Amino acid sequence: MSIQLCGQGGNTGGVKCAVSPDKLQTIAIWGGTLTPSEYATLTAAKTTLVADGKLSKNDDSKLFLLPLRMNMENKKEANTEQTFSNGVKVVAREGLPGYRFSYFTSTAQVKSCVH
Amino acid sequence: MLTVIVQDSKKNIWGTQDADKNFIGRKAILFFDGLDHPGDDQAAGVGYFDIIFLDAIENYDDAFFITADFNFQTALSALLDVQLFEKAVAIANVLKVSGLVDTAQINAPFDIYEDNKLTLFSTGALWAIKDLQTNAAIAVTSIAPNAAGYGDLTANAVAYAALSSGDKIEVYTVLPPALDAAGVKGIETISFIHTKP
Repeated sequence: MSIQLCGQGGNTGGVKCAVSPDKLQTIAIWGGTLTPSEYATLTAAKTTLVADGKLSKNDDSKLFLLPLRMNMENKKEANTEQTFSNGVKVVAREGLPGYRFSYFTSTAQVKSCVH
Repeated sequence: MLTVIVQDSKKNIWGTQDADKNFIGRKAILFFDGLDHPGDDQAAGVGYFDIIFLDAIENYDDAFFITADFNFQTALSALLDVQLFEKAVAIANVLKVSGLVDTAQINAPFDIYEDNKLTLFSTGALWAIKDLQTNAAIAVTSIAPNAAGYGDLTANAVAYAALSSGDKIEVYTVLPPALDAAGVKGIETISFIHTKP
């Protein structure tokens, strides 16, 4: 019997020099999209993101740049576990990823962000 | 719920993809704390916010990145809201206009006139007026800096004269991309309503 029936996983080899997410620097709220032709080149992707940052706040594709983060604290939700009758615990649902950031700001900017 | 993208310290931009392989943001919620007075061992002016990504699969299994050669903080813009207002009483069809950026100091907003008198307050094409009774446009004849510290915005004399006392018009500017293209950087304006005396 093929083990492929057990799931959709693949072989477990790693790609040399593959990229992992590094330390998170900046978050942007963004409702836009980059099409394959736009993210195919650095220039086209930058042009779209810069233009989206200049849109009105009422535009669906608006990019809201948030302040540069200083410290970051991992606040990932705990996994949800289930227990078998013999006491063995297994993960039933992975906890949601979350973080807490600090940033240099002012009261005026905080008022804008809160609203 | 919002969609967000993040830039990491390698400048890579992380998000996810939709069914058409477009690069899009991941679903998340954000919570901003208000600022408190700092304790004796803390510096002032540090705020906090929390972000929770709402879809673990989207965040882990379906995480995608694009490379970038620019820094978000340097290349992208965060705009300021500017409330347009009448700084002095209008003289017939000439409105005395400027704009304010709100600050936390009570009754002390920042007036943008000086920084923009040669662009926003000198270019009539950046302004528009709408008759709120009919929704018809009223042409802007011109705007010019006034030494008193505001722009003299002249509405079409015939159209303004046709308004009745108590009629209202909305005064606004073009949207931020057009303002930016005209050299008015980093702001989005909010219109004001003028009532004809």
